[in-house]
Amino acid sequence: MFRTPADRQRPPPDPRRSTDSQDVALIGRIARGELAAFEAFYRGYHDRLGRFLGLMTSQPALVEEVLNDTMLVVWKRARSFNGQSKVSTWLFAIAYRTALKALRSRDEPVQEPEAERVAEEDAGPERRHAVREAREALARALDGLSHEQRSVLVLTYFHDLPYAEIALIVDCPVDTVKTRAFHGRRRLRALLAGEPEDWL
Amino acid sequence: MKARVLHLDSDEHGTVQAVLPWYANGTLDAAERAEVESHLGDCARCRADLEFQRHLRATPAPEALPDEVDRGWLALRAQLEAPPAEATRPMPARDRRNAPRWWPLALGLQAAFVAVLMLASAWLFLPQPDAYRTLGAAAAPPAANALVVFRPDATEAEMRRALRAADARVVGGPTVTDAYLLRIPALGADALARLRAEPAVARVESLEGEPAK
Repeated sequence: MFRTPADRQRPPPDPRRSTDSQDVALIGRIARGELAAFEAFYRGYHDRLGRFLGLMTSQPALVEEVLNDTMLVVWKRARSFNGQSKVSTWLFAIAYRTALKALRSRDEPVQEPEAERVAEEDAGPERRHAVREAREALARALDGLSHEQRSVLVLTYFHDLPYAEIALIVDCPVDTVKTRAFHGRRRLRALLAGEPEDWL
Repeated sequence: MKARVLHLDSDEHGTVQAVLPWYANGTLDAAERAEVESHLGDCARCRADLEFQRHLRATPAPEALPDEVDRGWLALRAQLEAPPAEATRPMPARDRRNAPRWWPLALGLQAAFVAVLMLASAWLFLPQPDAYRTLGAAAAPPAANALVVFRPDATEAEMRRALRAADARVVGGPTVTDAYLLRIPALGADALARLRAEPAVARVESLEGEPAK
């Protein structure tokens, strides 16, 4: 009746995306100091981590720094991965903590998000314009949320993670994740109501 | 931000509201999904909320450009290979709290320095014009016109095959950034593409500007 499941709106999973068993094997090799494994891991996660950090921080200049700081932790602490969570959960938890520390250490005003590259390169100019407008409106609205709220929303809506996994990443109880999602999206909806885009 | 924790079990509407984002992203288990679907039939507010969340999910997020991956990886490699001196060791996150406001600028300059160092180290290996050459002097080596970085796990046979694919000769290196200087007689987009397609190759740069395709 309600055709919700994600595949109705999203393209099929990226075949380049690694499975957890592949990730575990890579982490084992990284723990042994294999640079080639580390490069494969870095390249495999660069896009996903970059999108998460970009939306979480809305500071493009900060993304590469936090991303590389996160990966440096992976390189140094791969041996501490104990397999109790998925590798991706462990990695996003490191990225989340690293980003929060970086954000809290800065007292600079949040930058206006830069105009982003349009993903749908085959779309016409009107469609590209609309996509860019929607993306910029969303970025502006996300700026109105706390980093804790926006992290939960970004991991939910743009990384399709279950709430239990998000709770592990942000290191808080499941009910807190649900609460952040509830208040965050209520605020987001109020902020987007003022946008020219047909959001609601 | 301190938010009041919801009392999720107080009523069906509240319970559904709490898990609706994960109904929208398709990660609820069967029991929760059934509960949400049963409630949606009777609740216009939840249906409108779900529609909003679908709209949100449909907004494409930006993707990293391939050259950003390369640039990021090279910057990280440079960090890994830097000697553990105070001047080059990355500042621990806790110390950045007191970092001056020019810290982001310094990071940018550091990245630019790595790029300049890579090209400058290549330049050092380029044959320089001799002010004076004796009659018996050996012929000058051919000038490099491209730069290649091989993957750390590439074997000698793989590197040889990559060089042959582009008809390239090594005329210098390794540089301080582990790059080799190449002379490619027919330096063009095709030769560079053949080199880039080789599994042994991590990065290729033309020293004469990117040729037209």
